[in-house]
Parts: sequence; structure tokens; C-alpha cells
Amino acid sequence: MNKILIIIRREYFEAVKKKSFIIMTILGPLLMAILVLTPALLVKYAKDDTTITVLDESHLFSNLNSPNDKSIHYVYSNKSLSELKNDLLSKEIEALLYIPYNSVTPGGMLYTTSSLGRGVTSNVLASMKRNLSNEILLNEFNISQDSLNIYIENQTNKIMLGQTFINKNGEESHKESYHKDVQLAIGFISGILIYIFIFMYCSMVLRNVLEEKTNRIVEIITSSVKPIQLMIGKIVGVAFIGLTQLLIWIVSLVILLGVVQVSFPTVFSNDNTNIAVTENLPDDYYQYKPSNSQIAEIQDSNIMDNEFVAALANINFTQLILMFLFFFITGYFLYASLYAAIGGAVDNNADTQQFMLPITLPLLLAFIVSQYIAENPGGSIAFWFSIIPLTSPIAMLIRLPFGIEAVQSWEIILSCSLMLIGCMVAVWIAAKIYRTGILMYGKKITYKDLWKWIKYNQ
Amino acid sequence: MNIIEAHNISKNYGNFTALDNVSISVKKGHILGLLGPNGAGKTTLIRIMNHIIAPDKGEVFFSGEKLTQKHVYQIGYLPEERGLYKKMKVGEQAIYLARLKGIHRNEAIKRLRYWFDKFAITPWWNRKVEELSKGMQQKVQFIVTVIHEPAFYIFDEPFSGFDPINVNLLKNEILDLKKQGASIIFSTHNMASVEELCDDIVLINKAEKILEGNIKTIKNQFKENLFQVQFQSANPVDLTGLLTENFDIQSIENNEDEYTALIKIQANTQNDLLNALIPHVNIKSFQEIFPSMNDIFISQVNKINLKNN
Repeated sequence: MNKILIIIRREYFEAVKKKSFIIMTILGPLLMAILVLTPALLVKYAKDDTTITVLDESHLFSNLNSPNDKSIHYVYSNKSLSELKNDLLSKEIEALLYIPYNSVTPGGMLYTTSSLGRGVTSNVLASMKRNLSNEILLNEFNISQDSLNIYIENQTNKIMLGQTFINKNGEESHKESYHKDVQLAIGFISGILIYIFIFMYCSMVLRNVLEEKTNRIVEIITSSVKPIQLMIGKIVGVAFIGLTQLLIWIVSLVILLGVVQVSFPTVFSNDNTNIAVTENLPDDYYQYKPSNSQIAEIQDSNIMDNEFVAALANINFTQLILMFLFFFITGYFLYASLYAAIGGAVDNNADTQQFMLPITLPLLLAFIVSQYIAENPGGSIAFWFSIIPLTSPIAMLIRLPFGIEAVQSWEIILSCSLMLIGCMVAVWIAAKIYRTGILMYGKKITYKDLWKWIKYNQ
Repeated sequence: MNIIEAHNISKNYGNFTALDNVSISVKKGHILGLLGPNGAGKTTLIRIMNHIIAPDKGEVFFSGEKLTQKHVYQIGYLPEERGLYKKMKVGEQAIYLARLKGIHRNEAIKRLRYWFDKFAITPWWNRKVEELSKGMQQKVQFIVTVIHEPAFYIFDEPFSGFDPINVNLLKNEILDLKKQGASIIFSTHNMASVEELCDDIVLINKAEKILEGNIKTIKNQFKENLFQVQFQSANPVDLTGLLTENFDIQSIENNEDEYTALIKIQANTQNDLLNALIPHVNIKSFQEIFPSMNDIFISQVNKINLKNN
């Protein structure tokens, strides 16, 4: 036992001290953060500020500037159209929006010398629509758009669409419509994480075993420890490396996201102007009742946010995290021991390929069918894939967020038990292959050889 | 008293027989040469005695007890194929390997300092193994083999990859170990070193033991009554005329008036040979020529192989 600890220590500290580990650990969350933040930052900051000079002869669009969208700035001018066109040509102004007087349909023309940023035209149109709708609301209904939004939001937030599932026994269960997407996302994310981590750290085990074999240091080590001790030591050592890396990533990701949220609050909140406006509710707020059609036209993103939170709250995270750790560790052990066996059996990296495929296949298959599993988490494909130890780490995690309707408790218990048995069988088989393999050189190993090694007494 | 005894060891790998009913034993304080061509089964036998693999049949006894994992710490094994972690620092690596042999960290450092000084590799303590020459790596490997001061050693081709100076250094270390009372199995192809170091030998060919015993006894057993005579004579000598048919002259060479002759005689007739020569020439030296271990090795292996074919 003590020897295994010495081996684990070496495995761990040698890897942790390596430059590649430090680089990967630092770059990991950075890459993840970049992946997460780039689209958000692109949307928020990629738009260059544009100043548009407005010549409004209709006097309907006196308030085009929006407090929410600062990317386009409107400047009103009293010059004549021809003067402004000359200004445009001489680059004194960036763009010109000409709105002529038209009693039938209001509209304008946007003059530019070069193409403006993406979506400027539609933004201008949106600003014009908003401006006009504000005018109409104020003039004909005597209410501002903001007050109306708040009123509508308060009224419509109470609306919920329920969904009832009836299973074979006629039992009903309730779930909110939006939940399935959240469950799907969480299931997929856990599945993908397990998949990536198993492959990442198992390849590390394979590399290290192969290194010891090609170095021939394994000959020296086996003169003082049993091959199985060495194998277990390596696998556990790499597991600790993985957990360390995972911990560093989680902690630094949390810190990083916190820093980003503090420095760039706009990246994460869609709209905080509503909060400011709530304080000055108009006097006639409660007397005013807009028509149903008007409610339907107004969309509010807050409904989605609330439902998202509700969907998250509905998922049993304690169970999910425990199960994630269980399948992460057992899945890792199962695959790592098989990888160690391959590393012990072959002579060089090129020879690993023929044995890698059958081992990689189940995990890959689980990954491929994960979509079907997610679509029908209670179905038979989902059931079998989450029971068989080689595929269950991914399949079970995809099913779990769907809750009790998709996965019965006995299925979870069966899956976990089989996983533990699978782990032990894998370690046992791997140990047999490993101890013979690490002392064999210069022979091209076939499946027949592996089978013979498994059958050897020692 | 034997430190290790292997009784009737057989080991098969599928259809391939690696060892067939082989027994060997090492006397306390002796060096046993384990000889045999490539693929004879030497390494398999060594691994069985090291408890790395188990025999299909037969038993190994260490100091009279059945061999178990605990005895492994009383064995110092230098494998033929040996390496070190390339990226790991030399000192740390030596400590690691010493600790795997059950030595406490501080004790390991103390002993390693002694050996590193002795082999003049202390300046390399904090360097990575990949910066070391092959000879220096071999020194480190030798050090970790002896670091736990066992009573029994197995050296599998210890000299391969060493330059002549380091071979001598290592040879002296092995003889030192023997002086301190250690017993050693020494497996090699290098027959010259066998004659220099070994007390006894075992010759294995194609999974079977074909010869064993004290090195002097074996040489006596295979001697061909061949004698070398060196003499001086002012006049040209015709040996064939001087000697009877019982003396078979194998060769004769001369450098001016100095002659060297190889003569095969009937058993115990060397005095007759001298008597026949003394009246005619001045004898400078007279000695029996024993076959070299190399000759015995080759003739024995060939004999067996021919018989099998």
C-alpha cells in the first residue's frame, strides 16, 4: 500500500511540475472564458459608434436617440438637404437620414458614402418605429412606452404555461414547458465534460505507461513493486492530477467570471433601464388597460429569464453533482485501466491504434446517440446505454436532469452497481494484460496474445 | 548453504517453452554465472527468482523459505533492459527508486550521497537524466540496485553499454560486494568476465540446463590434455623426430631461436613429454592449456543443437 502511495506521489508531482501542465491549466479556463465571452463581447462592442445626421421634415421623429442603444447617435440638423449632401461628400458628416413630410406613410432615406456597420439600417428602422410608437402612445393614449412596458410586464409575468406528462400507468406529472431545454443543456454539458475528461486523462495514463515501457524503467521498478501496484499507482496519480486541474479550473473560472461581471456589467444583464424607470410610475398606471392585441405584440425577455431560473431550480443538483463525480471517477477508472493495459501491451505509440478503436468506440457511440437519449430519456435506447458500464457515464448523465419521469431510482442503482462491477472487471483484465505486456518487447501484439495473457495464472 | 534455490522450474508461454525443468542454486558468498545464448530462458528464470513472474511448475526457496514478495527486498536486481525517467532529476529519481525498495527517505539520501561521491556523479544530482551520458545512467542504475544493501544480487548483462574504464569500476564493485559476503547471479555473454568473476556456472540452452558446476571443475572436465611448451634452442629443432606418436603436435611457431609449441598428450604423460624434450632444448615454460569458457560454451551449445537437429 505504502508503495502505491510513493508511486502516486511521484506521478502527481512530476506531472504537476511539468510546463505542459501549468500551460494547459492556465490556458484551459482562458480558452473557456474566451469561448463563452467572445460572442457576447462581439455583440456588445463590435458595433462602431455611428453618428447619423437627421433632417426631419415630418416632425414625427424628434426623439430617435434611444437610451438602450448607444451605438447610433442621432444629431438633428436644420440645414437644407443639398447642403447636408455636400457635407456628406466632404466627410463632415458620417451619414444622413432624410425624412420628408409625407401625410400618408412616414418614411426616410439613409444617405451614406460607404457601407456602415452591420445592422445599422435595421437599427435605424427600429429606432424610427419606436419613436413613432412612443408618439402614438403619448398623443393618442397619453402614456409613455416605458410605463406601458412596466404595466404589461407586471400583468403578463403571472402567465405560465404548464405541461402534464402522462406515463404508462396513467400517472400525471407537471413540468414547465421551458424545462426540457434546460435539462437537455445540462445533460449535454455533463455528458460532454465526462467525455472530454475521460479521454484527456486516460490518454495521459496511456502516455505515461508507454513512456515507462519504452524507457525500460519499468524493469527496474518491477524488481521492487508488483506490476499491479505500479498500474494502480499511475491511474490514481493521474486521477489526482485531473482533479487538481479541474479544481483549479472551476475556481479560476468562478473568479474570472466574477471579475468580468464586475468590470463589464452590461455583458451579462440585458437591460437595467427598467429598474430605474419603475420609480416614477405614472399616476394613471393602474387605470390604464391596454388591449389584448397590444400585449401580444410586446415581448419581454424577463419571462424567459424567470422560467430559466425555475427550470434550474427544478433539477436535483445534489444528485446530479454526486452522480457526475461518481461516473467521472468510475468512468475514468474503467477506461484508464483499459488504456493502461494497451500502453503496457504495445511497444510504441503507432501500435496503440488497433487497440484504441474498440475501447474508444463505446464512448463515442454513447456520444453519438446522446441526441436520441435526450429526445427520449425514458426510452429503451436511453435505458440500455445508461446500464452498460462502458457507455453509462455519458448516457446516464444525459438522462439524469430529466428527473424521475425519465430515470427510475432502481435504474440509477442498477447502473451504478454495474459500473462498479465493470470497473473491477476492467482493472482485473487490465492488470493481467499489463503485467505480462510491460515485460515484453519487440513483438507485434495481437488480440490473440492479449487473450492468452488474460488466461495466464501469473 | 545456498542463498537461493530454484527447483524444477518450468514455464510455458502458450506453446513456447521458456524453461523446462531447470534447477539452479547459488551458494552463499559465491558468484554464479548464468550463461546461455539469446532466448535460452535466462531472463525468464531471473524474473521467476525475482518474483516478477510465477513458474508453471517448480518452486523457489530464498534462504530456505519459499520465495514471497517480502524476499524481493533482499534481492538487488539489475535488469538487462534498464532505463530511467528521462525528464526526472537524477537525485529525486534515485530517492524514488530507493523508497520503492522500502528505504526511508532520509536514509536513502544518506546512502545515495555516499554512492554518488564514490562514483563521482554528485554534480549531476540536480540534473535531468536526459543530460547524462549512458555510462552515467548505468552508474545510477547500479547504485539503485545496491542501495538497499541486500544479501543477494542478480546482475543481468551488467556491462553492456559501459566503456572499458567503467567496466573495470563495476567489476571491482561486484568483487567488493562478494568480499562483503554477498551472493550474486551474473548473467552475461561476456565469457572473459565470467572467468574473471564467477565461482560456478550454469549453462542454459533452449529452456534446458545443459551444464553446471564449479568453473575449475568444468574446465578440468573439458580439458583436452593440451600443453604449451616454450623453449629455446640454438639449432633448428625437429619436434616430430624427438617425440613419439603419443604426442600430437598441434602447432609450432618460432621467433628466431624462441619456440612455442602446442602438444596434445595422453592423460598424465606430461612428465614423459618433458623428459623427451629436456635433453635437446632449454625449457622456458610449460603449462596446461584449459579450454576457455567461450570454447566450452560454443561447443556445448552446438553439440546440443546438432543432436536436436
